[in-house]
Amino acid sequence: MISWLAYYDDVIGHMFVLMILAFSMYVVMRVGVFSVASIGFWAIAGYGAAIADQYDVPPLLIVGGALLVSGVFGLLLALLAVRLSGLSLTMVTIAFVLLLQVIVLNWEDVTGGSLGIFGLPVHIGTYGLLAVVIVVAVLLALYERGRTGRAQDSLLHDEQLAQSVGIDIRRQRIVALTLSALLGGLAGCLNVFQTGMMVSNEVGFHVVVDALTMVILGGTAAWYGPVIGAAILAWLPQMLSFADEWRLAVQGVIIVVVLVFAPQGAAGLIQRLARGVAAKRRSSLLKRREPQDVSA
Amino acid sequence: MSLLSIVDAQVRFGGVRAVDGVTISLERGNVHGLVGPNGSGKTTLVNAISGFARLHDGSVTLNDEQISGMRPDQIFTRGISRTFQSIRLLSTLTVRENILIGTDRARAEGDGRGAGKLLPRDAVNDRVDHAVALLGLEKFAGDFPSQLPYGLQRRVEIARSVASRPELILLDEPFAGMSRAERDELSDVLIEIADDGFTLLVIEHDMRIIHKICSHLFVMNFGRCIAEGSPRETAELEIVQEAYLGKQHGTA
Ligand SMILES: Nc1ncnc2c1ncn2[C@@H]1O[C@H](COP(=O)(O)OP(=O)(O)OP(=O)(O)O)[C@@H](O)[C@H]1O
Ligand SMILES: [Mg+2]
Repeated sequence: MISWLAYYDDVIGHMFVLMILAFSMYVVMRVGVFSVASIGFWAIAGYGAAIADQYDVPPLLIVGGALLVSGVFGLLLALLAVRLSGLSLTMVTIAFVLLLQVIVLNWEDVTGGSLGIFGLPVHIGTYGLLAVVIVVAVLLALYERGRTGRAQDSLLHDEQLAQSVGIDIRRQRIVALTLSALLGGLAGCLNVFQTGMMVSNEVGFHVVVDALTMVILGGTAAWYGPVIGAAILAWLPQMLSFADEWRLAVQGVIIVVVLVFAPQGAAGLIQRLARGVAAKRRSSLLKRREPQDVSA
Repeated sequence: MSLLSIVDAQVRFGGVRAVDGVTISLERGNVHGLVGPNGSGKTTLVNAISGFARLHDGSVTLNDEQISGMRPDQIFTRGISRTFQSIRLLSTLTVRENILIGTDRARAEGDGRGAGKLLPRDAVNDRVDHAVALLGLEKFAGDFPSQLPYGLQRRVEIARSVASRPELILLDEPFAGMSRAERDELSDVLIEIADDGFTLLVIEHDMRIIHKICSHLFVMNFGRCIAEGSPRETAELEIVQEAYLGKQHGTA
């Protein structure tokens, strides 16, 4: 077990980083907004952290700076984006990522161009990352209990209904987009701290695809959706090693199958099963007792 | 002073004048009926009141405050709650949680301006319990909507509205698709809700139900309010009879 952990230490650590990126995608998809802006903040914070690291800025200060910058930019992007709806909003977030990609590739003096920035010290290990994941997951789980969770559910499934019970759609979206930016920034920063490098690939199309894969596989029904999605994505290369160069194709097939047969993802399946069990238990209770004994 | 005043309201969709200069008032404590042939603009009028349809002209005022131009969520927090013509329940939440949604953004009593504090937990539970009891949903509070028959799902929606303790409840065809027995039961419940002090506007086609529950009736046709008054007298009017039989001579 110990040697297995040591052997796969990098994969496990990367899985935890991915979980935070998946959380970032999740909080915004959870309120019915299709946004890939997370990748933009992942990139901004990643390059910011890598550059600051070259000047030996203390890691905690870097994290603080990354959160501040992504929070402010996230809020600005949110204020702009919520004026739009549906596809236009999504396009704005895609444009944001593409813009960063162009900047990263062309501003070689600072970003290292397509090679990126290498040889930085590793600031965080697997256990440190696990701790961060646990803290974020607990905060999210608390956040989405009760009133807020119900508002998120209504925004995800029926915007008109949400409005009709007093939910301010724009405000909810601004909060979600900003929160998403903060988490994306945190993930990007931790990614550099774990790997000791930042490469231009991390702003590329494949990160967008990976991030989407995580939320599709895990689903947006609850906070554990992105946890499951990230866990699957992190181990996919290992599991699909038999497929060789067909790996990406197999990954695509998996996504399509999930979209068709379990569009709510793993978390949605789990919730559906839980609802079924609860319903069965209640109806058997009702059968055993007199109806008037059953208090709600 | 009327609870709600609509003055010369107009809503257009392209060339269609869905609501074409409606001027009506709703009085506190009354159950108002709204009838009219299909496509006469009933739903659009409810949408205009609740902020889902933009007025091209005219105004809507609640307690002397102009609410036309506000967003639906702002209008809700000022005390107008509505249901939709189709059932709108969240399948991922239990019946009780679906009703709770109505109280989540409701404001403390006595604040009509929508700026009050959110309700404390005790008050929320009281309101939900009361609404659940009023609509006879005690046994189903822990169920999920899909487990309930259609008639009960409709009741959950009404309970969601009642739980927010609004000044005005707008119900868009709450009796649609129900059996005769279900209609009779629900109409008794609506009478109870009115006795509780709520003001209602109910869209309904069945005149038997209208006579039973409404104290005031509005009749719409082609986007206009063509008649109003006590249900019995209004229904007798020739212009109203014509509107309902209009297909025979109107299109010729
Ligand atoms: N969103 C919309 N876009 C375009 N036209 C609309 C829209 N909503 C309503 N209309 C049109 O406005 C008119 C009034 O429709 P409305 O739904 O208000 O009628 P209604 O009285 O509620 O009818 P029903 O009894 O069938 O529910 C109809 O001609 C309808 O086609
Ligand atoms: Mg209608």
